[in-house]
Parts: sequence; structure tokens; C-alpha cells
Amino acid sequence: MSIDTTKQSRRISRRTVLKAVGAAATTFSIPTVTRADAAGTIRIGFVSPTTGPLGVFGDADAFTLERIRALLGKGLENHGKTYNIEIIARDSQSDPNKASEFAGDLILNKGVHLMVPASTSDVINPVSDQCELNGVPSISSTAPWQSFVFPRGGSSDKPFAWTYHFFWGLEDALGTFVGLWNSFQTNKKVGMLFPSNTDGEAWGNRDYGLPPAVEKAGYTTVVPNKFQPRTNDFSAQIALYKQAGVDIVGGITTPTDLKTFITQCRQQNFTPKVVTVAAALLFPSGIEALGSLGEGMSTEVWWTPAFSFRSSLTGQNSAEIAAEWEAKTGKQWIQPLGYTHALWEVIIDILKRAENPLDRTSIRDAMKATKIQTLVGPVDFSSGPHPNISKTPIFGGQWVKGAKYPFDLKIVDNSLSKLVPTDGKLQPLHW
Amino acid sequence: MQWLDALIQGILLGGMYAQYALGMTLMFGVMRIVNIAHGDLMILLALVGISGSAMFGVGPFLVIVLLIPIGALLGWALQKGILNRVIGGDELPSLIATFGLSVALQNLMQQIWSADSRSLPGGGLESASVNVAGVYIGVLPLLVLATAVGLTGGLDAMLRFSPFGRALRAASVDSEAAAITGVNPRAVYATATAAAVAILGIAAVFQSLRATVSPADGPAQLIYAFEAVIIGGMGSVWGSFLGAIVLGIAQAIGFRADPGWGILMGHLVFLLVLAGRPQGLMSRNR
Repeated sequence: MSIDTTKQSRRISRRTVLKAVGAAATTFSIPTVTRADAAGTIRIGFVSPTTGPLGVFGDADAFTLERIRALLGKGLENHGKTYNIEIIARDSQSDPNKASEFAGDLILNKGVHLMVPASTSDVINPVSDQCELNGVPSISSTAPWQSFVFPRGGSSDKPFAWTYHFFWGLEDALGTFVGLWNSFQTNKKVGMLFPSNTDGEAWGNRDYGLPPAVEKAGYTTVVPNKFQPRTNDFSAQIALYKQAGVDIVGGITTPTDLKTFITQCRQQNFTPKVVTVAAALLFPSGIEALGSLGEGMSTEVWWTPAFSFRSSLTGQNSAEIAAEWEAKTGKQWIQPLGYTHALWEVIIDILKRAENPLDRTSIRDAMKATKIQTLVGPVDFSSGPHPNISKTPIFGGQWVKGAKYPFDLKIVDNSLSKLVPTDGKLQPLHW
Repeated sequence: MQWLDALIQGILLGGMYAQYALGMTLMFGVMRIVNIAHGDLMILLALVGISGSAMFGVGPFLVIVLLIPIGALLGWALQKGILNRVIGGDELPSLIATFGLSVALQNLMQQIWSADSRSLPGGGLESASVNVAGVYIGVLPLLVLATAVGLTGGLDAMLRFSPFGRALRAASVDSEAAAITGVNPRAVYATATAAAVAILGIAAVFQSLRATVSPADGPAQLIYAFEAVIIGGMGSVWGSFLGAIVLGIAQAIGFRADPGWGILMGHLVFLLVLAGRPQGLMSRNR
């Protein structure tokens, strides 16, 4: 009996735990209010995937958010008046339902004037839908514009009233792939690799995806049916490619599937001259996971430190921002970094120009009239393929052996946009 | 030729599933503990192995040597600390406990290692292959299969002939009767789970050589381990090996028919066995 009681007392009671959790939650949720003698407080809702599988994107968002908060410490000037800025950040936990829930709360209970769904379709689409429904302006990036417009019921003659987005589109990514493959002589036979998920359905689509775009450029294609993500065996696809004698492999996969595929290619003695894959090779971690087999792989490029534009907020160029990230995190720069910075450039520009920055309609009208040169290129909604879209440039890149980190991403194709010069030409793979 | 190649790749794939299934057959097949965190434990061991390899600069084989005792310790602590408290006639408490553990482990791993995909550098081993009469056989998959055969044989012999095996079988059939004859079921279970997770340490190294691992990957391979154990027959060690091979062949043949069908084909074979021979291919008790 006495043993039991001592055991009981050593345990942490439920109440203590709840108290600690509650205290921690309040500490984290205190919003940063920048105080000044101000005309009012502009509230910005910020939803980003800080935790969960999409956490890599959230890392860049959090890094930039911290710097923006410091920058806005003295408030924001608009037509001679100074306003406080309150940024209320929420973690979507990589869950679209959570993102939607937080958006509703931010709009209805916190009364935000402007919403920022930062990074990935899983945040952008549900949050933008809430904004459209409740009449709140929102601005986002880092998802191909088609996946922002079409799944949400938009079309070129049916614009959205409140939600705006800047990024490149599928057609640009496809054009970049073709540009890369035109770099040197091959037998013009392409083996395609698409998973059966949202990305794979779009990229592999026979009407507007990669296969018709590539065929139009004079290539022949071998398109095996779509595989399930996390497939453990690709020998069927490899056998098909070998049979057709393809020189080029292109498609979209996750890092895990690409590693399984490439390892098996080597085992099966299938050695294409070019492997160009979207998504999997976006982050340095993806290419590092491939080990030495990753050297020479090519991918689409949104942003690199080689971009020459300067930030309208800090005056820094891309290389300086990348260096700052590397010093702070100890990790190699990542592509979303440029976009999350550009997003804040656009936001602050809008709030400075708005007739009345405490009025949602007025902010929306300023957003519509945006014309600004950002870190990732010009943003201008009057010139896009859809009234709510502004297109930014995209390039073709190749991962080469790096100096400071295992691999460096080099821009090797700029056939679609001359805003950034190339740094050499695409080289064939060494197996 | 195409189908012979598919068959061989299927058997090799089955070897990988067998490694996942072995620990599961001990826990689920023999002890009737449904361990939802099985896959997450493997990912945890893989990440520890990858970090260890980078830190000490050791190759994959030394990592295996490192991970076996870590896995054993982890398994022992898991059984002592959590599972022994929820074990009993009902399978539901252990299911709920390990489900919670799975969620907690995934979040813990993400805090430590972030959501990045990682792999273990194999120094060329992972991509080496031999050409046997026109069919390329990967050295790594071959090694995986051979290891799986060795482990299956060893585990089967241990269960059949060793005093520990007898005690475990006795404890899982009737823990009270076993206790009367001097067996301490909880101590035996702790050793068994230690063995199960130690085997996962070996599987973890091979998984991080042939593909990548990231904190959320665990549950994806869990289903194959369950299927292999059930196809083979609960409690039969060679049965779950056979189940894994059947699953691998079904998938590989399915992939050749259509790359989208392979995984479905594996599930169909599993359902077919469940409908036609619910006790499993090699189970002795009906």
C-alpha cells in the first residue's frame, strides 16, 4: 500500500500538465503588436505550414516573418499617417482543414484586414476560399497558377473578387523542361514518370500536361501509366524505357520515389543522358538524399541567389538574403525563400498605397493595381493570364557538385525568360 | 523473359517486406499486440542510423551493428514502459496506446530531424548489380533477401527450440498457466519485443540505403507487414516470410500489367487469401 502512494506522488498530475500546456499556449499566441502613436492597427492574418510534412516551406515563412516584424516595428506609413501592424500567425499543421478553420477564425473573430495564405496549395486554396466567401482580400504565392484558379471554380471569364496570386504556371514549367532537353543532342525519346496524385494528374494530363507539350517540340514519348506514390518497385517502367531506348527521363515525383527509381535504374543498367524531375529536386535535402547519383539531375528553378533584383524592403539582393538565411539556420538556401520575401514586398506595397488601409475593399483595390519589382521579378495583375494572376519567371536548373554544400543549383536554361542569365549549359549525366 | 524478370524482382521485393514483417510476426502473430508504431520505430532507427553514420563516419554495416542494440533497448523499454501495462485479453488497449505512440514519435522525429528526406550513403553498394543471363539482379535487394532468410530461420529456430521460445509460446497461449509453471510472461514479452525492434534496426538500414526516410513515412510500409503476417498465417514465422514473398510477387506482376495496378494487386491477393484461407497459408491451427 505504501509503495503505491509513493508511486502516485512521483507522477506528474494531470492538472500540472494542463497548466503548463495552457501557459505555453498563451505565450505562443500573443500577437506582436507594434506600438506607436498611430492612426489605427492593421491586422494581417498569416497562415503557414510550420509543422507536418510541408514544414520545409513553413521554415522559410517563419524566417521571413521574423524579419518583417522587426522591419515594421515602427509601424507603416500610409498617406502621411502611421499605422500599427499586427500580424496574427497560425500554423496550418500541413492540414487543409486546419488552414480553413484558422482562416475562418482570423476573419470572423480577429477581424483581419488582409489575409496571407503563405506557401503550398494545401494552405492557399482553403484559406483563399474562406476569404472569397467572407470578402477579405488575400495574396499568395508558391503554387502553379492553374492549381489556384481551376480547383476553386475560376476561369478566365470568371475572376475572383478578393483573392490574388503570383507564380508561374504549368505551361512555363513544361516549356522549361523542353528548353533543358534542347540543350544538347539526344535521340529525342523521353520516358515519363508521373504519380497518381494531384501533381501527377496535372503534369501527366494528355491534353495540357507534359506529354503533348513535349511531342509538339518534336520528341517521342513513352508514358507508362501513373504509379502510386511510395511505390517500392519501378522495374516495370525501367523495362519499358529500356525497350524504347529513351535518352531522357522527365516527370514529377517525391524525393522518396525518385531515390527508389534512380537506384533501380542503376541496378538495371539503364543510364539515360538526362533526368529532369519537378518537386523532388526542389530542396537541397531532396538531392542530397540521392547521394552521388544525384549529381547532374535537372529541375525547374523558381529563385536562386543568382537572381539580380533587389528587395524593395531591405535593398538587399538575392545573394545577401540567401547568405542571411544560411548564417541564421546553418542550412543551405531554399527556393521558397525568395518567394516568401517577395510576398511581403507586395503586401507592404499594397498597404502603403491603399486609400484606407483599415478598409478591406480599399486594400483589395490597391492589390488589383499592384505594379512592383520584387526579389523574384515583376508582379503586375494587369498582365496575367487571368485577372487574379501575375506570372513570375521560371528557369531550368542543374544540380552540380557544390563548393560549400554537397550540391549547388545552377541556372542552365533561360529560354522562357531572359530576366536572369544562365550559368553554363546543361551537361549529360555521368553514371 | 519480361515475366521472369518480374518474378525475380517480385521475390527480391518480397525480401524487403519480409524484413518488415518479421518483427510484426513476433508481436502481432505470437503475442497478439497490434503495434501501430511498428513503421515509426523503423523510421526512428533509420534516422538515428543516418545521423550516427554522418557523425562517426561509419559505413552501413557498422550502422547495423550500432542499431541492433539500440533497437533492442528501445523495444525492451517500449514493452516494459507501455505495452506491459495495457496487455491482456483485449487487443484494443495496446492498439490505442501504440496509435498514440505513433503520433507522438512522428512529431518528436520532426522536431529533431525536420521534415527533410534523408538517406544513408552506401558507397555504391545500393546501385550495384549482377547480370545473370540478361536479367539484372541488384546486389542490395539480394542482400536484403538473404538477410531476411537468415533472420527468419534464426527466429523460427529460436521460437521452436530455445527455452525462451518455449516460454514465449506458452505465455502467449495462456499467460496464467505459463506463470504457474514458473514463466514470467511480462519479462518474456519484454525480451520478445526487444528482438522484434532489433530486427527493425536491420530493416531500417536497408530501407535508408534503397530509398529515403522522413519522419512521416512510417505508416506507409506498415500495411505490407500486416498483410504479410496475415497471408502467411498468424504465429508462423516462415509463414510470414512466405506471405511477404507472395505479396512482393503479386505487386511486381501487377506493375508489369500496369504500373498503377501493382499495389492494388498485392491488396487483392491479400483479400483473396483472407476469403479463401483466413487462417493463412502456413497456419497449423484452423
